[in-house]
Amino acid sequence: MKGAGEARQRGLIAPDIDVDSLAWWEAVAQHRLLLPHCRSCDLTWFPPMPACPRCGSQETELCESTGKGSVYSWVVVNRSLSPVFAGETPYVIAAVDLEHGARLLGRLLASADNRRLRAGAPVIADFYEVQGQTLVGFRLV
Amino acid sequence: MSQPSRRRPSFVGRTAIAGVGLTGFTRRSGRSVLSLAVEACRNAVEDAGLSRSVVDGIVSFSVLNDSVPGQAVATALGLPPLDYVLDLSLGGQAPSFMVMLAAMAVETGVAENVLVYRALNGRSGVRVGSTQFAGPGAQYRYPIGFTAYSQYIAMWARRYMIETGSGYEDLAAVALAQRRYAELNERAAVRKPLTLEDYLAAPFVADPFRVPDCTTEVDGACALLITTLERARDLRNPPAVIQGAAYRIGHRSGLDIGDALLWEDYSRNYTSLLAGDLWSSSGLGPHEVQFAEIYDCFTSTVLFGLEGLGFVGRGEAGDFVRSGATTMEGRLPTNTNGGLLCEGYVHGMNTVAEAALQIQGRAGVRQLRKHDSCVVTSGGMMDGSALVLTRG
Repeated sequence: MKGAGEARQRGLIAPDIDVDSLAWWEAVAQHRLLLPHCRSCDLTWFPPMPACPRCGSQETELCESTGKGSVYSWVVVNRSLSPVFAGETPYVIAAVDLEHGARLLGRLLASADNRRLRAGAPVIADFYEVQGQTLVGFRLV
Repeated sequence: MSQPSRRRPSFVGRTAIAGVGLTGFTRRSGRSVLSLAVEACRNAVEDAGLSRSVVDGIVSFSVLNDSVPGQAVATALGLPPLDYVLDLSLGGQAPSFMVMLAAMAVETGVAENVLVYRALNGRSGVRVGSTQFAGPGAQYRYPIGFTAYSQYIAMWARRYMIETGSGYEDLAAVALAQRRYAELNERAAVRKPLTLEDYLAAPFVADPFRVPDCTTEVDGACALLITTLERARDLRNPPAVIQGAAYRIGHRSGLDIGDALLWEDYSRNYTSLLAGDLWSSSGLGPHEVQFAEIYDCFTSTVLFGLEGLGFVGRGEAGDFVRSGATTMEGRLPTNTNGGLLCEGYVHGMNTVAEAALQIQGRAGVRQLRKHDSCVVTSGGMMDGSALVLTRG
C-alpha cells in the first residue's frame, strides 16, 4: 500500500475557509494542530464551529493537540472521481480518533511500513504542503 | 440503537400512493431535466387515473441544483394554481420523507393530490458521485482528496467490517442478489449476470468497494401521486397505503450532508435510529412485512438497513443475504428492481416507486407472490427516512 505519494505531482482543491475555521487553518499553516475545546463542559471536538456541539456554550477556545491518535477506519482511493487527484491513486484516507476525543480525516502519509495499517493502529499527525497550502495528514508510528 | 417510540402521525393509515410515473433510465437522455420531470409527473397523474386539473401540490428535491423546481414542472405541465410546493435541498434521505410531507399535506387538507418527483440527468449532466458539494464541512474533505460518496460510505463500510467481522464476500452477496433481480428488469441500466468470480475480479473504486458495489448513475425521472386513502380507493390502481413513516437525523450529524466528523459510530446509520418509531407507527414489525426496498447507493447500506431495521442481528446481514433470504423466493425479497446498484441512481425515488408497484401487484415478471406489506428506506448515512406500505 502506498502512502500519499509525496514525490509525485500533487493536486489541490483549495479549502473553502470561513470565519469559523480561519484560526484553525492559520495554525495549520504554522504546523500546529489545534482542536476546539469547550470551557463550559470540557469537550474537545472537531471541526471548528461557533458553539460547543455538546452543551451549546459559546465559551470555546482552540487548544494545542498532541496529534497522537489511532486509526478508526480508512478507505483506499483506487479511482479518484476528481481529476485533481487522479495522478495520485491509490492513496489512503484515514479517519483518526485523536487522544483527546476529536476525529479527523487525513491522508496516510508515507512511513516505513504502511502494511501495518489496521483498526486501532497508532498514528501521529504531520503536515504536508500542496501548492502552497498546508494540510494535515497522519503517519503510522 | 433503537430509541423508544414516541409518535404515530395521523396521516399513517389514511394516505396512499395512488400513481407511479417513470421515464426510461438512460446514460444520455439528450433531453432537459424539465422534460424528464414533466414526463414522469404526467405519467404519475395519468397512472392514478386523475386529471391534471386536480393536482394541487408538488414536492421535489435536488442537490447541486441538478433538478428543476416544482414551479417549472407545474408551468410546463399546465397545472392549475397550486396550494403546496416544496423544493428540498437534500440527497438520498429525501424520497420517503417527501412522501411523508405530501401525506401530511393531504391529511391536513392543505392539498388533495400531491405529486412527488425526482428528475436528473445524473449521468450525462451533473453527476452526484463526483461533483463537489458546498458546505462548511467541505473544507475538511476535498483538499485531502476525500471527494466522493463512494469514499464516504466506504469509510463506514470498513468500520462495519472491522466491528462485525464481515468481509468483501458480504458486500458481494448484496451485489449478486440484486443483479439477479436486475436480469428481470427491463428498466435496469445494468443487467448482465454477475458471478462471485466476476465480482472479485472487478477493480476497486474505493476499497472496500469495487465497481459492482456502486450505484449506476443514470438520466431519468420518477414521480408518485399521493392522496388520501379515501380518494385513492376510488382511483384506477389499488392504493399503496402509507401505513408507517419516520424521518430521523442523528445526534451531531455534521455541518453538511457529507460531514460525518462528529458522528460517533460509522458502523450504524439512521436506520437504527428510526426503526422504533417506524415500526410502532405502522403497527407492524420486521417479521411481519413481506419484502424490503432498502436504499443502496452502495452495497453496504443494504447490510446497515437490514440490521438497523431489525430484520437480522448485528453482523448477520451478509449471511442473511447469502442464504438466499432476499431473493424472490426468500423470506424477505429485497431490492426487487435490482436496486440503485443496477436499475440506476434516480436517487432512491425509484426505490419508493418499486415498493409501490410491488404492493399494487404491478411489477410484471418480478412481481412477488406475497406483496401485502413492505418497508422502504431512503438515505445512507447520518439521516434518512423510511415508509411502511401496505396493500389497501
